[in-house]
This record gives sequence, structure tokens and C-alpha cells, in this order.
Amino acid sequence: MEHAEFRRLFGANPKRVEPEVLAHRAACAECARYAADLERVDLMVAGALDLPAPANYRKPWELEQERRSPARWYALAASVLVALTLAGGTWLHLRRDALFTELVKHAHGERSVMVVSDKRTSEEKVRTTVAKAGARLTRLPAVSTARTCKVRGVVAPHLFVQTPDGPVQLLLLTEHRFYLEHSAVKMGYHAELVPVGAHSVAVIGASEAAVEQGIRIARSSIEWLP
Amino acid sequence: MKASARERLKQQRFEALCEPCRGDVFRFVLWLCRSHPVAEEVVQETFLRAWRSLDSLKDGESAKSWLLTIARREHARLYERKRHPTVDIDDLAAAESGALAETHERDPDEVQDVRKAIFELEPEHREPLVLQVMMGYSTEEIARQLGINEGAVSTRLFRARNRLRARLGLGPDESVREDDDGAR
Repeated sequence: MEHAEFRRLFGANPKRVEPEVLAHRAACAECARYAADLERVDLMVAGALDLPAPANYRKPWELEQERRSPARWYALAASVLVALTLAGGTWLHLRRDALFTELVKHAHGERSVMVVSDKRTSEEKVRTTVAKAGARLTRLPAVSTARTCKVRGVVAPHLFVQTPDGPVQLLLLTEHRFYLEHSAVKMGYHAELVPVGAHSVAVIGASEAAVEQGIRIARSSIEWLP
Repeated sequence: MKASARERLKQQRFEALCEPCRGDVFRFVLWLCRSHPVAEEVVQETFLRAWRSLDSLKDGESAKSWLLTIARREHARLYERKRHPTVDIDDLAAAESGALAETHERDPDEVQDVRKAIFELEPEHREPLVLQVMMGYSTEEIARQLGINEGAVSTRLFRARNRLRARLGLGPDESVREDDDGAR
């Protein structure tokens, strides 16, 4: 056996026991020294590699249980909540938008009376009109026209009120309740859905300023009867 | 929560087959990644993965090599996910030697020198050496584990030992001479 071959074989595995390998080792002093060196290397390596396993180890089934339990459920619940919120928000927005369209179309149909006017409707007529929605006025605004129409099949009294910024229409919506104010601009009209007491009032006008005035009037003068 | 009878059987099987290998898996991973905390993390993930797929382990005899295969994959996956800070080899060898000195009666300086030399080996040389010296794997088993042929394993082992021999001051690196001869 050649020296180089012995060294390659022994270097790859110092535990070789083939007769020719052992014979070469016995016959060649230099290769025997080399073999002894590598055996020493292996002993040192074995000693250096020998480390105890760490104590802070968790049983995998405990770890899995822990990972499965709260965090997963929270994540799932959060996703469901986000999905529901998005779906609910979209649905409410579409529903509100449809109502705005309907109200503005209605107001547009009555544009002939939503004009600046000195005409004032009698207090009795105004109060009678408002009473149809189960409401009363705590003070009388400057109403030029008072009418009772139906919005989505429900009686909706409306008052055309003259404000310093122009006329606005107040529609008393007994069947709609909003917790926040919502606004829209459609067909050139500014519209606002305003929560007033237990119900809502739609305020529609040609300008934002007039609508603002209308909102103040609605809030300060309309009261729902018990 | 109480484990069902089936779950308990699975736990018993896992304890019998995998738990005895935990030390070897940890040591293998430690010498692979050269970081104690990373090795602990890899071993924990390896055992979790092994637990989940315990049913795929048909032959109990091959539990260790099955675990080592999972550990190698977990180690690679961990490094894909995040970059770990580079560890200074001197600091690392000193820290690990400290742990060893508490449990073994060896010269801590010598142990530190050997560890430093092992850490300095190329991963392709270190890994088969660890598998052979620590796990007692044959060349054939190492070849299977690493997905290379036996000839390549023998060459890597020969080079690993010779580089260590030179670094530990025991003699010249014969593999360099081999490489030079081969180049000529």
C-alpha cells in the first residue's frame, strides 16, 4: 500500500481495520506517527464535541398546545371581526347612500318651493304637520311651506325653512336612526342626516352654509313626543 | 387538558424514540450553527416538527437520522427566516468551554483550542466530521444524510482531520500536499 493511499484512507476514517491498512501502519513508522496523530485529533474532537443537552427544553405537545390556544383563536377572532366590520360598514354605507339619493330626488322634485321667500306658513299648519311624525316644535322657525309626503312608505313631514343663508328642507324621519351625522352631495344639493333625539332629520339645501343653519334649527326646535 | 389514550400512546412512542436522541441532535446543531441559543431554538423546532409528523417514522431504528434530517432543514429554514449576529469564534469557544469544564475533567485551554479549530473548519468539512466522530456514522450514512457520494465524504473527512491536525500543531496539513499534487 502506498503512503498516500494509507493516509487518505486513514484520514477519512481512523477506525479502519482492513489487514492491508493495519499492515502498512505496522511497517511504516512515519505513517504510524501520522495515524497516531489523527487518532489523537479524533479523541480531542470527541471531547470537545461532548456537551450536555440544554435543560430548558419544552415537550413538543406542550409547545403545540400553547401555540394553538390563545394566539390562534385571537388571530381568528380578529380576522372575523375585521371581515364583519368591513362587510357591515360597506352595507351601512350603501344603505345610507341609497337613502340620500332618494331624499335628494324627492327634494329636487320640490325645488319650486325650496326658494327664498317671505311667505310664512301659519303656526297651526306647521305644528299639525310636525305632529304627524309624532313631534312638536319648541320654537317656531321661519317656515315658508309645510308638507307631508312619504319616504319609503312612511309619513315624513317636511318643512321648508328660510335661513339667512338660503332655504333648506327639513324632513322628519321617524323610521331612521343614526348615531352620527352623515353628509353627501348629490345632484348639486348638500344633504345631511342628523340624529335628533330618538329619530333623525334630513336637512337638504343648495349650500353647505344653509344646511348648517338648518341643522342648528332642527336640533334646537324639534322634539319627539313620548 | 387531559390527553386522550391515543395521545398518551403517541407521547410514549415519542419519548421512547426521540427523547434519547435529543443530546446528539443538540450537539449536531450546535456544531452546525456555532451558537448555543440558536441551537436550542433549532432543536425545539425540530422536536415540534418531529412530534407533528411522528406517524411518518415507520422504523424506530432510524429515529436519530430522521431527527438529524429534520434538524438540518430547520437550521436552513431558520437562517432563511432571519439573520443571526455573527459570533466571534474566540468568544464562542471560550463560552462553550466554560460549560464543558464544569462537567468534564479536561484541560479547559486545550478544549478551547480544539473547539476554536473545529469552529474554524469550513461547514462542508465540519459537518461530516461531527457526524462521524460524535454520532458514529459510517461514510455511507453520512453520504446519505448529506446527499453526496461516499468518495466526497471521504475527501471531506480527510481534509477536516488534516486541517485540525495542522491547527492543533500536531503535524503538517497533508491534504494541502494532496491538493497540490492533484493540481500538478
